[in-house]
Amino acid sequence: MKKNLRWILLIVGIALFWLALEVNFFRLQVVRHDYFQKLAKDQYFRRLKLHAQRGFIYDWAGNRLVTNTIHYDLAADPSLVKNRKRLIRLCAEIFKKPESFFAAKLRDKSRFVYLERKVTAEEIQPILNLNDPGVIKIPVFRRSYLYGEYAAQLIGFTDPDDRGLGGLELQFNDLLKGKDGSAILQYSPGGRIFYNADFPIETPENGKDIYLTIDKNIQTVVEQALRRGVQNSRAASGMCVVMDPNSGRVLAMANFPSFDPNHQQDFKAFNKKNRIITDVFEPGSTIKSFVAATLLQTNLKKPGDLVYCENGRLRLYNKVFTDSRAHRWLTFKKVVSKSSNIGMIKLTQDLPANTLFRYLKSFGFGSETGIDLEGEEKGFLRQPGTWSKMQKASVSIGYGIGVTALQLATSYAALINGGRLFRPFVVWKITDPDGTVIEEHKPVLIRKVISQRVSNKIKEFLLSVVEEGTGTKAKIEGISLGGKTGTAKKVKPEGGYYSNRYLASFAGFAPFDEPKYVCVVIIDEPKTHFYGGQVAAPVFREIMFKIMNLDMPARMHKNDERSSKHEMLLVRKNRNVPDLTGFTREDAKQLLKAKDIDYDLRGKGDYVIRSYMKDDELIVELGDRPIQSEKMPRLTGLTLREAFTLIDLSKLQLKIVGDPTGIIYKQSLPPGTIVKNKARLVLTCSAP
Amino acid sequence: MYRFQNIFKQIDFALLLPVIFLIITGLFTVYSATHITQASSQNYFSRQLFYAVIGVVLIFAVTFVPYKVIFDLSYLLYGISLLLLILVLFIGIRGYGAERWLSLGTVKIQPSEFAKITTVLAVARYLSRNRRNINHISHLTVVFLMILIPFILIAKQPDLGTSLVFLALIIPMLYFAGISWFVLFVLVPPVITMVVSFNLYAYMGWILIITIILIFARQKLYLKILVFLQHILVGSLMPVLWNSLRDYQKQRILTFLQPEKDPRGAGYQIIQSKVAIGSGGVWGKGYLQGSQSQLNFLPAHHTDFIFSVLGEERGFIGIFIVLTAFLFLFLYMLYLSNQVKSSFSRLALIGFTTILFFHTLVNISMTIGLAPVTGLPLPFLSYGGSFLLTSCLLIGISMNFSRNRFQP
Repeated sequence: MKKNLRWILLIVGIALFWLALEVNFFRLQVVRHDYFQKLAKDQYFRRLKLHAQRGFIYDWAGNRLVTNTIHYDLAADPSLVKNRKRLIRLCAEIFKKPESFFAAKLRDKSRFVYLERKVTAEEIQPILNLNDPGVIKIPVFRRSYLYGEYAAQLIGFTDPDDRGLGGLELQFNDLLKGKDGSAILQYSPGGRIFYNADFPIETPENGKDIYLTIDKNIQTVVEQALRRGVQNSRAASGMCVVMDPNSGRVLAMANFPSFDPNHQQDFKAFNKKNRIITDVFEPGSTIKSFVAATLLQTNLKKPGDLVYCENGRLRLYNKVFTDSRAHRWLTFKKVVSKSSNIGMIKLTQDLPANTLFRYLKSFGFGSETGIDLEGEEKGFLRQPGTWSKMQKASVSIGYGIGVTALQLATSYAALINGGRLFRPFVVWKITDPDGTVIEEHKPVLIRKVISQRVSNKIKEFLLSVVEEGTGTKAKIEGISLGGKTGTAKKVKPEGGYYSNRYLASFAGFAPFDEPKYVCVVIIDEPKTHFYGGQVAAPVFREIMFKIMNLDMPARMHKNDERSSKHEMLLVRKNRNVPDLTGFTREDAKQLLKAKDIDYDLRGKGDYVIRSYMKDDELIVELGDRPIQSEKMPRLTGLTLREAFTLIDLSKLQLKIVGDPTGIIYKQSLPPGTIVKNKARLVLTCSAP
Repeated sequence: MYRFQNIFKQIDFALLLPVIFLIITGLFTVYSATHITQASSQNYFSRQLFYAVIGVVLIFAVTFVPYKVIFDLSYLLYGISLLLLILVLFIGIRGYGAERWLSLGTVKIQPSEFAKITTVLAVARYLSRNRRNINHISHLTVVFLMILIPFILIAKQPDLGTSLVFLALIIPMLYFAGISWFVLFVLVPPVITMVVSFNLYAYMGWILIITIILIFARQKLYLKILVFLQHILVGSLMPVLWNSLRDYQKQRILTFLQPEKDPRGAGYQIIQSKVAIGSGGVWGKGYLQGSQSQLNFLPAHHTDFIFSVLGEERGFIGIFIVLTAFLFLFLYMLYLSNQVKSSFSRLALIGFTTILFFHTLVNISMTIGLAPVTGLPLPFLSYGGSFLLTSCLLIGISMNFSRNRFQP
C-alpha cells in the first residue's frame, strides 16, 4: 500500500499536467480561435496601397492652377549621419529653422527622423551633395500650387500627406483625394511575396478635377493691383473681389497679405483666411447706393430733389453727424456722388425703417450670399423693430450694419444689372479625370430686387460719383464706368469707434452700358490717406483698366481684318475716348477726326503727353518727347491676354501674326529693349 | 506456426500500438511541414521514414534480447556514452551554436540522446543492487555523481534543455528507490525557495510553512536546524546573486523565462506557434492546409514546433487524440513498472517514463508559451534521427521488461 501510494501520486501528477495542457489548448483553439484566426490572416495577406492622384484645380479657361509634382520627404538615420555639423548647418540654412531644432532631431535614438517634409529637389540639392550615408530621400507625389500666393485663400492648402487643410482643398477633400486602390499580396517572412490571383487588383480612382469660375488673368491683375494698393497706402491688409454681374460668377478673389500654399506652415493663420467671405465690417458710404435705390424704387425721392446739407454738421438725437466736406444745397444725385452723410440721413427721414430693412435684406444683407464655399459669414442687419431713429440714420450711411466683401459685390451686381440678385459661385464644374462632367453650377437668380428703371438711374448716380464726385480717381479715360466710395471708421473691440483707423472701400462696375465686371476693393487701415476715393479707387481703376485690355484680343479676333492698329485701342461710343498718350500729333489728329471727336490741342510738340476729356471736349496736351519709355518684358510662352497685362499697349504699334488665341513664340523686340514710343512690336503666335 | 504465435504473445501491444500511432502521425506531420519548402537534397520525410523503419526494427530487436544482457551491459554502455560525450567536446560538429554531434561517416549522431538511456539503466542497476539503502549518504552521493557527470558534460556543450532531462531523473528515481520523505524534503523545497525569494511576502510565508513542517518532522534537532539554515541561506543569497549579474545577463534569463517580451527574437517563435495553434480551431485547417507552417511563418516547424503544425492542421480534436495517446503511454509505463518483479526493471521504467514525460511536457508547453524555448524535441513526432532511435530503443527495452516481467 505504501508503495502503491507513490504510483498513485505520480499518476495523479501526470494526469494533472495532461489536464492543464488540454485546458490550455481548449482556450487557444476554441475560446480564442477568432482572435488568432485574424492574426494569422493579417500576416499572410498584406494590402498594398496604390495611391490615387489628387484631382487638379483649373480656372475658367482650363488653365491648371493646382497640380501634383514630385516632392521629397527628407529624413535622416541619426546613427549613420557622418558629418553632423554640416548637415545641421545646411538644414538650418535651407529650411530657415534654428540649428538647435535639427541638432535635437539628430540626437534622436530612433533610426528614422524627418528633417523636412515635402520639399523640392532644387531646395535640398546642397544637402544631397553632401552624399551623407545618413540622409534619406523619399520621393512623394505631392501638391504643387503653380500660382503661389494667387487666390491662395480660395484654393487652400494641404498637409505634407496631402490631406486638405483649408479652402477648396479642405471643402472638396473627399472629391479631390480620389480613392486609393489596393493589391492584396500574400506574404511570407524572408521577403517572399506571392501575388494571389484570387484577389483582383483594385485600381486607384484618381480624384475629381475642379474647374473654377476664376479667370487666371483677372486674378493676376487683381493680386498685383491689390498688393500695390495696400503697400502704397501702407495699409494693414486688403481684399478684392471681381464678379460677373450677369451671372454671379466670381472672376477673381484676392486677399492681401497672402500666403504661399507650397510653404503654408511658414505663414500666420490670418493670411490663410479667405476674409472676403469671413470678415464682417461696417461698409460706410458704399451702402448709400442701396439706400438711394430704395428711395427711388419706393418713389419717395427723385434724382433732382434738393436737400439742405446743414453745412456739414447735423445734430440729431443727441449725436452729431458730419460730412467730410461742408455742403449746403445738393440734389439727391449729388448727395450720392459727393457722399454726403447729412444729405442721406435727411433724405431717408420719410423712409420707414421697415421699408429700408426690407430692401437691404432683399439685396442680400444680413444673410449668406449662398456662395458654394464653406465658412461664409452672413454679417448683421438687425430687425427694424429694434431700431431707434438714430439707428435708422446710422444704417443709411453704412454704420450699424455688417457686411462681407462678397455680399457687397453680389449686391452691387444686382444694383447695376437691372435688379437681379444672383447667387455667387466660384466652382464652375466638377469633372472626372476623363473630363465627364459630374456637377455643373449654373447661375441662380435669387430674386429681383429693383426695377430696370431704378437700376439704370442708380447707374447714372454711380457714374456721376466717378465723373464728378468722390470717386474721380477711379476714372479711366475712354471707358465709362461707375462706382461708389466708402470710408468707415473702424469699431473698437471694446465698443465705440477709433478716431484714426479707417476702412476704405470702393465698389464699382464697368463698362457702363453693358456692365461686365463688378469689382469691390477694400483697404483696411490705410496710413497715407484714408478716404475710399483716395485709396481704394485707384486700385479699382488699375484693375478695370487692365481687365479691359485683357478683353481686347477677343474683340480683335472677331474682325481682325478691319481693325486698324489704332482702333484696337478704342472702346465703343463717344464717351469712350482712347488714351492717346504716346501717339504722334498727326496720328492723334487723324484718329480723332475719324472718330468725329472734338478736340483741343494744347502746347507744342510732336507727341501727345496726356489726353483727357473736359466738357465734352478732348484735351490733347502735346510735348516734344515721347513719355518715358519702358523695357520690353519677355513675352514668349505667354498667351496674348497675359502679354497684354505686361506691356503698355498705348506705346506700341502692335501686330499679331498667327492664331491670336495661341501662345506667343516669337517677339520682334527682344526682352530688355528700351521701348521707344510707338515702337513696332510683332508677336507671332502658334496654335495652342 | 506455434513459434510465431509464441513470439506474438510476447509482444506488449499496449505499449507498441500507441508508439506506432505516434510515429505514423509524426511522419505525416513532418511531410506536411516540409513538403513545400524542402530542397530535393534534403528530403526530410524520406529520412524520417528511414529512421522510423529502423526504429521499429530496433524495438522488436531489443524486445527479444535476453534480459540479462541488458542488465549486464548497463555499466559498460554508461561508460561508453560518457566517453562519447567527452569526445563531443573535442571533435564535435557545431550546430545551433553548440557542439552536439559526432560524425560517423555520413551519419551524424548525438551522444547526449543515448546517454539518457544508459544513465537510467546504470542508475537503476546501482540502486537495485543488494537492496542498497539509498538513504545512506555514500550511495546517495554515487547516484548523484552518476547523473551529474553527464549533466555537466551536456550542459557544457551547451545544451541546457537536454541536460535538464538528467536533473529531472533524480527525484522520481530516488523516490521509487525508497528514499525517505525527509531526504526528499531536503532536496526539493530549496528549489521553491529560490523562486519565492524574489518576493518578500511569498518568501516569509514559505519559510513559515517550512518551519511548521520541520517542527512536526520526527528528526534529529540539529538536522532540522541545518535544513532551516539551508533555506535561509538560499533565500538570502539568490537576490544578491541576481543583482550581481550584468544587465544583459539578466535580460537573457528574463527572455528565456518570458519569451513573449521579445517579439522579434525568441518571442517570435512563440507568437507564431500560438497563432498557428489558435487559428487551427476545433477541427483544424486540414492536412497540408496549415498556412502558418506552409508559408514558413513558423520556424523549426518540423522539429521543435511540430506540435504546432499538428495543432494548426488537425485542430483541437487532433491534439486531443495525440495527447491522449501520450497519456495512455505514460500511464501504461507506470502500470508496467508496478507489475515487473525486478527492481532494476521497475526503476528503469520509472526513468524512461520520466524522460518521455519531461520531453513531452516541456515541448508541448513551449508551443503554447508556457515553457521557455529549450529545443527539446517531441518524442516520436519531431524530425530527428538520434532522438527517434533513442525513443524507440527506450520503448524496445520497456517491451523487453514487459516480456520478462516475472523475472526477478
